[in-house]
Amino acid sequence: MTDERSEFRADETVTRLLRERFAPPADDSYWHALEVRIMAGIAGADHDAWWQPFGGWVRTGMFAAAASLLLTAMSLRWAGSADAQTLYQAVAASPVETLPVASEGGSASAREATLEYLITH
Amino acid sequence: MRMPAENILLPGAMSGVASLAYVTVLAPNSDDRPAPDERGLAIAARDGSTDAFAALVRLHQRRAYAVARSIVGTHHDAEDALQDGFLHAFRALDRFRPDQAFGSWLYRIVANAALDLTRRRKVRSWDELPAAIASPFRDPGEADELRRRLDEALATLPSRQCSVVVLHDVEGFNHAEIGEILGIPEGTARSDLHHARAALRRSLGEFRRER
Repeated sequence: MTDERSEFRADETVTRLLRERFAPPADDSYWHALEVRIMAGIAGADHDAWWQPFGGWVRTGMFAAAASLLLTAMSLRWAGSADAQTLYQAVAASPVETLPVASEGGSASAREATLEYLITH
Repeated sequence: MRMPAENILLPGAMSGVASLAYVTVLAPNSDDRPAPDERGLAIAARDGSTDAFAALVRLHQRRAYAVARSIVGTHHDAEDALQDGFLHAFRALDRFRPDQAFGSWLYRIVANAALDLTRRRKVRSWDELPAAIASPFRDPGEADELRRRLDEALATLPSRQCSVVVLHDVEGFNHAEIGEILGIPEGTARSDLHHARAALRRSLGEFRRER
């Protein structure tokens, strides 16, 4: 069995040196202070991360804001061109051409009526 | 000797009229104490009790430190890895399954934090031993030389082998636990331990022969 081979067994001196090198701090106050630091770090991270449950909504919100901005811009542009079109149509379909005809027509028949009266009398 | 007990308020640990319960938690390494209700603490911590998580920190920070130290090498980096590890563990509590040992789950997270740190650092370094440390050797000159040789040998060891030998020979983890902590098969942990021991023995053996 390989475990029995002497080169694989722990060397007492090496183990002693390793324990010396990797000895954790022995002072209880050190561990208490470390615990306080760890818990303070957790409390700080917890406080900073209060909004994290909403983190998933941030991207959705950004997309929604961008989409609504785009829609607003498009509708404003569409509304602008529709106004121009309406104005053009209003001008183009103006009843101006009928008014002179009515007045001119009125004065022509009056002249004809006068002429007809003079001829017959 | 009985260690002082500490009452920890756990919200939601009891059903019925009272929704609060006290769980007695004792400091680790005392002889005649009951085993702390680690599972209860883990469940309470998962349900949002920071007091329960603080008790878990108290129970496991020394061993978790040893795990981190075996990977990163220096005390300062071990502290950083430990704090990162506990923070990650706290955030991952909802993924902790009560049927598993909290310690094993935690040490794996701390080991991953330590491995991340070493990847960021790129180079693993070792602390200078304080001169005032109590030496187990009679001849200070010999002890210094042995330490120097050990440092050189550790520096040439693959980092995983180094972690395995420290976790096994210094901290007393078994092969299965080491495999779980480092995310390697148990057989690999065993093989790493053999190679590391042989390399360290060789490096100090040369010094012994020289003398």
